Amino acid sequence: MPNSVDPVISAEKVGKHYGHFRVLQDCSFEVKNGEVVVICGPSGSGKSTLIKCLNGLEGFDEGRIVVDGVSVGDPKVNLTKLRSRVGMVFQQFELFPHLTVEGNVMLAQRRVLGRSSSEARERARMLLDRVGLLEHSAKYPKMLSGGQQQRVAIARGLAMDPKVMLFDEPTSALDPEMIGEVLDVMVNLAKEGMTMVCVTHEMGFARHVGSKILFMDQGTIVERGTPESFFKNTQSERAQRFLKNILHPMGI
Amino acid sequence: MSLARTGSAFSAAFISLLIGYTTTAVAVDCPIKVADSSLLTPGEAVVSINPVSPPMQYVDPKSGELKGMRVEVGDAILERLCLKQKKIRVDDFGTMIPGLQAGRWDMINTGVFFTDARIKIIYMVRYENQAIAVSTRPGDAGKFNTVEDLAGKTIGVDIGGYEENKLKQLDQELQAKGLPAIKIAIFNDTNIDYQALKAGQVDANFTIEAVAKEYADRGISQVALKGLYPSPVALAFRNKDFAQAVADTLTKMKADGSYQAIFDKYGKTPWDGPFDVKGPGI
Amino acid sequence: MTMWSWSAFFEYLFSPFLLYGAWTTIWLTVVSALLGLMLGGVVAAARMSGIGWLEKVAFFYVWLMRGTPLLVQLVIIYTGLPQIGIKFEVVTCALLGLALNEAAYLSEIIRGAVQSVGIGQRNAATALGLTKFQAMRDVILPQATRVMLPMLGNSVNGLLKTTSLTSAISMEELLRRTNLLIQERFLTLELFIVASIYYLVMTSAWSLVQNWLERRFGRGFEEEARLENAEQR
Repeated sequence: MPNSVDPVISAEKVGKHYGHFRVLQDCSFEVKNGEVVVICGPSGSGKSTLIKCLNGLEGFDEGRIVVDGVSVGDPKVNLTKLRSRVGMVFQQFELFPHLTVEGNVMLAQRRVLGRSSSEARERARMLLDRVGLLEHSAKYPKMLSGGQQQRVAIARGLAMDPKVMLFDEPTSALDPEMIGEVLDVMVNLAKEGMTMVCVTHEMGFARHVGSKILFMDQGTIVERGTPESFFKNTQSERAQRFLKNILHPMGI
Repeated sequence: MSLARTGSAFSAAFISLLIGYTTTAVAVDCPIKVADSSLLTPGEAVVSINPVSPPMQYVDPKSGELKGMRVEVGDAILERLCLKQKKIRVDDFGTMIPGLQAGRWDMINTGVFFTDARIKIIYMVRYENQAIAVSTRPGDAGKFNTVEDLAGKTIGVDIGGYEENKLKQLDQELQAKGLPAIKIAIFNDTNIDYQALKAGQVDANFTIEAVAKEYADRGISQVALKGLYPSPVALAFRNKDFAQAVADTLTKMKADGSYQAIFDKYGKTPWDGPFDVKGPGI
Repeated sequence: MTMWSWSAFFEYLFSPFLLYGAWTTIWLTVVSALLGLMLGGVVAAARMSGIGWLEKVAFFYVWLMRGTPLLVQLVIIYTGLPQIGIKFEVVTCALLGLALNEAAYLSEIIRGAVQSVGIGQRNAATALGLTKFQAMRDVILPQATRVMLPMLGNSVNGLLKTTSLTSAISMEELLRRTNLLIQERFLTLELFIVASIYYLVMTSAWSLVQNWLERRFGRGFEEEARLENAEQR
C-alpha cells in the first residue's frame, strides 16, 4: 500500500531493445512526492521512450516500474485506472480538434471519472482560468496558437486531479516567443507542489524549480544530481559537451 | 472504382457490349449486287446478331464461332449478293433496333418479330413463322394446361421483344376476366432467365418456341404450352433498297430449294407468303 | 433516322412509370448504402482487431467481393444459392448483392480513414485513461468520419447508378424502366435524356446531403475561423 513516504514513481533497471538495438539500458530512478525531476540529453538518448514507459504508452523488456503503487510492466494490470491519476503533456499538444477547448478538458472527466456534465464544465473552466485561457473556452483548438494549445493540454491533464504530471518536451514544438507562457504555467504548478517529470531542454526551468536532473545518453542515465551540482559541477564529459551545446551553441 | 462500374452500367444500356465482330470475304469474280449508297460501307453488310438462342443464333462454346439457323440464312443470302459480311455480336436485344436507327449496322439478323409498331420505323422482310411457348421446370408441365394457368404466377421473359409485349397483353386479357395479375420478371439475358427458372425464382418462362425447345432438349426445362401468338419473324433493315435486294434473293432461294433445305435441317416453319419489304412509307 | 421530339420528351419527363422506377433506384441505394456502411464498419473493425484469424477472414471477404464483378455476385445470389437451398426473393437478392459488394469497398475507406488519425491522438486519449472503446468512439471516429465523408459520398453517388445492374436479375429500377419504354416507340434519345435528368436530380440531392454532413463534421477545422482569430490576438 503506498503511503506519503514511498516514492510516487520508482524505476529499477529498466531496459528496452528492438532486436540488437538497445533503446534503454539499466535505467533506475525515483520520484518522490512533490519533486520535479528533469530528464535531459541529446536526441536519440531514449528520454522520450523512458517517460512513455512510466504510463504504459511504451512497453519495456527488463526491470520494473511502479507508479503510485501500480506495477506498470505487469500484463495482468489494467492501466486505465492508473492513467487517470497520471497526466501527460505531449510535444505536439495533441488536443482533440473536433472538440472545443472546454470540451477537450471535459471529455476524460466525464468518461473516466464519471463526473456529471456540469461538474466537469465547472472544473474545466476553473482550470482554463488558471492557465489564463478562460475566454477561449468555446473555441476550437485550430483557432489557438501553439502556446495556447499547450496550456489547454496542461489544463486537460490537470482536470483529472493527477498525482503526477509527465511532460514530454512540452515546449520543443513552440515558437520561441510562446515558450515563456507555457513554462510559467509549469513553474506555478511546481511551486504548488505537483509531482512532475519533465523531458525538456529548458535549462532555465530546470534550474528554477527542478529537484533533480537526470542526464541521459544512448539509453542510459549517465549523470544525475541537483540542478546546482549538475550545472556547476558537471562530472561526465558527455554531459559537459551537451551543456555546452545547449547553453552556448555558437561557442560564444 | 465506382467510375468504372457506373460507366459500364450506363453504356451497356446504350450501345451494349460488343464482344467482337467477324468479317467474311467474298470471291473476287463475284460482282456486288447492291448499290453502294444503300450500305454503311460499300461492298460490306454490317449485321448484328444477339447470339443467345440456340439453335437459332448462338456462340459455339468450343470454337467461339457464331452458329445457328439464322447465321446460315444470313450467310447464304449475303453470299449470293456478293457482299462481305461484318458480324457484330450484341448482348442486349433491346439495343439492336436503336442501333439500326443510329446507323451502327445495316441489318439485324436475329429473328425479330414482325410487328406494326416496328414497321413504322424500320424495314422488315418476313421469312419465318414463329410462335411463343411456355417453359417450366422438368415435371411441372402439367401445372400449365391453358394460358389462364399463368395468372397469379411469376413468369420470366426477355426484355424488349415480342414475347414481352404479348405477355403483357395476355396479362391484361386475364385480368379483364377477373384473374389475378401475372408477376412479370424481365431479364436481359435468356440464360439468366432459365437459371432463374431452375432456381425456382420464376414459375415459368415465356419464350419463342425455338428457344423453349432448345432448353428442353438440354434437359433444363420442359415445354408446357406452345403455338401461342404465332407471328412472322423477319430480317430488319435501315435501307429500303438493301431490304429489297435481300427479299429478291430469298425469292430466288425459295425457287431453287435452298431456302427450304435450311428450314428442314432445323425443323422450323418457313414463311408461306411472298418475300416483300414492309416499312415506313410502304 | 429519328429527329428529336419535344412532345415525347415532355410526355416522358413526368411519367409515373419512370418516377416509380426512380423511387426504386432511390430506396435500393439508401438501404444498400446503410447496410453496406454497417457491414463495412464491422469488416474494417475486424481488419484492425489484431486477432489473427479474424483479420484473415475479413481480408478474404474484401478481396473476394472487390475482385469479382457485382453482376456475377447478383446472379449467383439470385440463381446459384437456391440450388443449395438458400432462396431469397428478388428484392432481397438485389439488396444483399449491393450491400455485400458495397461493404467491401466501404470497409477499405473506413479503415484508411481510421488509420489516418495520427498515433499522437491515440496516445493522448490513452494517457487520459480512456478505454480503447472510448478512445475510438470519442476521439478517433469523429475525426475519421470527417476524413471519410468525401469518399463515402463518392461511393453513394456511384451506388446510385450501380443499382441499374440489378436489372440483370429482373429488378425494375430506373434504367430498366427507361429501356422498357424505349421498346415501345424507340424514342431512345428522348428517354435517355429524361433518365439522365432523373439521375442528375438524385445525385444532386445527395450532394446537398453530403455537403451538410461535411460541414457538420468539419466543425473545428475551418480555415476562416483561424484567420479571424489571428486578427483578434
